[in-house]
Parts: sequence; structure tokens; C-alpha cells
Amino acid sequence: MGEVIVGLKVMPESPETNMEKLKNDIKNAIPKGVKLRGMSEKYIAFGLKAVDVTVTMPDSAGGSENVENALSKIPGVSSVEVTGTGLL
Amino acid sequence: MAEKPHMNLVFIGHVDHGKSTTVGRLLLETGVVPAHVIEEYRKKAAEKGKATFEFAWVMDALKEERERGLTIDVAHKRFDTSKYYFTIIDAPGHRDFVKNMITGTSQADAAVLVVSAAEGDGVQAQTKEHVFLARTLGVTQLIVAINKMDAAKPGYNEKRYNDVKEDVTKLLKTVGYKIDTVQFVPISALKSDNIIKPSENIKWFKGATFLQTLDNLKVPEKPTALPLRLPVQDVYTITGVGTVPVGRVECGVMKAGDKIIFQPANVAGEVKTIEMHHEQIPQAVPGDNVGFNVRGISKKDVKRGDVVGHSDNPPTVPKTFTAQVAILQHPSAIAAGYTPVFHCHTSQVACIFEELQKKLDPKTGQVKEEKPEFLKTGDIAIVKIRPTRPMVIEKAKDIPPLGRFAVRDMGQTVAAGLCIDIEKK
Ligand SMILES: Nc1nc2c(ncn2[C@@H]2O[C@H](COP(=O)(O)OP(=O)(O)OP(=O)(O)O)[C@@H](O)[C@H]2O)c(=O)[nH]1
Ligand SMILES: [Mg+2]
Repeated sequence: MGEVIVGLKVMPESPETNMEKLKNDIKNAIPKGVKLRGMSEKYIAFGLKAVDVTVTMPDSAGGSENVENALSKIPGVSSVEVTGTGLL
Repeated sequence: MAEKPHMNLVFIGHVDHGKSTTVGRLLLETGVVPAHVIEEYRKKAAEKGKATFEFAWVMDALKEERERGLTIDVAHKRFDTSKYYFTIIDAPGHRDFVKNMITGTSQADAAVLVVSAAEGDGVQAQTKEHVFLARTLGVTQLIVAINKMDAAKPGYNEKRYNDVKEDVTKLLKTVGYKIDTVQFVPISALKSDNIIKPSENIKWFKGATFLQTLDNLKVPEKPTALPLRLPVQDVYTITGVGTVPVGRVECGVMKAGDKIIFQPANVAGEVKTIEMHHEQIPQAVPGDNVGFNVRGISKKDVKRGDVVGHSDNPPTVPKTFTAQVAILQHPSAIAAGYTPVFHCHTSQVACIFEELQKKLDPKTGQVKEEKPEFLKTGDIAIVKIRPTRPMVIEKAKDIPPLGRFAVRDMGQTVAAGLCIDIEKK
């Protein structure tokens, strides 16, 4: 059992959402035991952008739901989707 | 990169049967591990006074490389064969990641099931579970790598290979794999037997090397011929544009001008324009993440979990459905009436296990028990499910990406399954 890497797509509530603040909030919301590995803005459509978030955690941590929940609770976040999962 | 077709390859199998070693061996022998990494480790080995160069160190080195400058793309290891360009996903061991594999977007085109032939190994609990999951994930192309042939007793013997092969065959039949399309290959990942060249140790084997089995895979077809299904991720109102749902096309094609319907919202509209990244596109195909502007609906009419289809072939909202489920982990027993949350495409709906119809024997695929009273961890069963509120799900046989689900309860992934039949409303 090793480290699991998970990609997440965070969608803001609107195209007007302050993306810098959102990224900062994401950084602060990452739960204990989970490492933030990268964040980048991704253009979706019609001026809308998502934040692509990459995190790692031990396989034994058992799932990424705690990260998904923590990010979902951030004000200004509309949804959080897992885009990829694999062992490091 | 040359214009080779791309394949997503997922490695599955029981703990310690050699998935990571097989991946590492492939990368090493296809020349993906940079020479400087190998050299560095040779030196270190020499410094530590170890005479032999250990393959395990290459594995460590690879991991370290990936630890630097990490993105999900980097974690998906890449390598080329003469025919394809592969990215590898090494499946996590913990069951709670199963939900990610089912609802996450990186769909595998083929799977390599690693089964150890070492004494006492063979088909194990997780071998069964992963086979079922591969099937649930809609992976139809399968390679069974019978690994650790060097550690069979006696080493490299043909009988052991055939015995393990037979056990795996039984297991695969249970979940509905067509055996004549499955490739079996004996290897030793550790000693590098039959990986890229035939091995003197396995002379009795006349089939392909592991690398050849990869080249024998078929180019996955994009499911464009299937009916349009686009699960909605989010819905926006954008100034100057209007109502814009966002989502990924799972199957079929959506064009500007199409008459569409959202289910279970049961709201119809017309696609005005479709955008992907910064561009307007005339049509969206499977795999495309798009936003599209819909005439005739407002943001409050539709929501995450709704599915878009064409008006003349709308997504199915069943009254009940029949499912084949594998119970992955449950602290006690599941009886009729159990109501956990089903994660299916972008929807999450509490559903009732209304009727436990059959329990299957994972070894033979035969019905082990009619109308079982309860199900426990490790069971595979046919059950009747009733959603507590309307949701879209399709027969997996007809529309695979919308026919699979993960079942969650108490913060755990309890089960995974496939919809095999539908009771219409
Ligand atoms: N004799 C022998 N040992 C092997 C072979 N392949 C792997 N091993 C050993 O088996 C052990 C487990 O190998 P891994 O590649 O880590 O197995 P895994 O399936 O990735 O394990 P998890 O990720 O923990 O599920 C290691 O000690 C390997 O050196 C093989 O072909 N022959
Ligand atoms: Mg491993």
C-alpha cells in the first residue's frame, strides 16, 4: 500500500467568483493527512473556470471523501468532482 | 508524440501479487526509466557495498521522480509500444477509492489482472473483487498476467500456470467475461521472464509475451453510436448568454440545434451553442467537457444529477431496477429494506434494497442461494432496487457508462454494481 494521488475539479458558483480567493480557501481547507500537490485554473466554457486540484494521501487513509466534503463546504464552491485516481 | 492511438490501462489484483513490480518492469524495459536514474542507483548500490543491482531501487527512484512536480497526469505513467501510447493507472488497494474509480472520469480502456502463481497464492479475495470491479467499470478488454512464475513450485512449471489459469477462467465467467477474448500470459516481473521477449524458463508457453498482449488490444471505439447521455455537473446563469449547464458527454453526440430533454427534471430545451475551453464547437462527443447554452430553460429548472438526452430518446427514469452487486465491505449484514446512497454518474440518491433475489457463487457463477435473507462482505448478488426519488440509470448492457454505481453508507463504499434490468414507470 502506497500513496494515492487524486485529481479533483472544483467548480465555482459563478463566472464572477474570485478565483484567487477560491484557490486560497482551497489551500486552507485541505484536511489533515492530505497533501496539496498542485492547483491550476482550467477554462471550461462561456468565461467559466474550474480549479484543478491534485492531492495525495496514504492508501490506508481510505478514500477521498473527506477532501471532497471539505472543498464542497467552501463558500463560492458549486461542486467538487473526482477526475482521476491512482497509486503513486 | 507520434499519432499512435492512446489507451488507458488499469492494473488490478490482490495485494502483493506484483502489480507495481509489473508496471515498473514494463517501464524499465520499454526504456521509460531515464538512464541517469538507473545509473544513480547503480552507484548507490555499489557505495552500500551491495554487489547486485536491485530492481526494487528502480521502483523507488521512479516514485521519487513522480514525487517532484506532481500532477495527476504525471502519476499516470506513460510508455509506448510499437502500436500504442499507454497511460497506466495502478489501482489503489483501499476499497473506499472504488467510488472514485466508478464515478471518476478517467475510464480504463483495458485492464491487466495480476495473479501470483507463487505457492499458496493464486485467486484470492481481492482478485475476485477487482475482477468484478473491472466488469462494473465497463472494462471489456482484459489481460491476465500470471506472475511470479519463478516462485511456483517447482519454478516455472506449466501445471501451476494451467491451474491458476483455470481458476481465473471460472471467476471471469461468473461476471460475464467472454473467455476467448481474454489473454493469459505467464510472467515473472521480478526476473523479467516473458515481459518483452520469450523466456527460456517458460519454453512450454507458445503464446505472446506480455508486451505483445498489450499490442493485441483493440483500439477503443468512442461510444458515439450510443444514445446521447450527458450527466449535468452544474448549471449557471451567465450574463449575456443565458442558462448554461456544464458536464461531460458520456456517450452519443450533442449538436447545436438539437432538441434535448433533462431527466428526471423532465424539462425540454434546445441547444443553442456549445463551448469547450475557449472555443465554440459544432458538436460534443464522448469525453468532451462542455458548457452549452439552452433555449427554453432557466437555472432553477435543472440541476446536478439530471441527465441530458435527445427528446426522441430520453434518459430512463425507472420505477425499480435489477442490479448485480458486489458487497465490498459492510460491518454486519445487509437485509431487504437497507437504504444506502447510490452514486451513479453525477447523481446521489438513497435507494432501497427491496428484494434480495439471488446470491451467486463467485467461484462458479452459479446461483448459490435463492432469496437469501441477508448479504455479507464478499457476496455477489442479484437485487431489486427502488430509488427513493427519481433518478436516471440505464441498463449497463445498452448504455454502459450510465449503468454502473457505487453504494456508500456510513462514510464507506459498501458495494459496487451494475444495472441489469429496468422496470419502467
Ligand atoms: N518471486 C517473485 N516475486 C515477485 C514478482 N513480482 C513481484 N514480486 C515481489 O512481490 C512483492 C509484492 O510486489 P508488488 O509489486 O509491490 O505487489 P503489488 O501487487 O503492487 O502490491 P500492493 O500494491 O501492495 O497491492 C515484492 O516483494 C516483489 O518483489 C515475481 O515475478 N517473482
Ligand atoms: Mg503496488
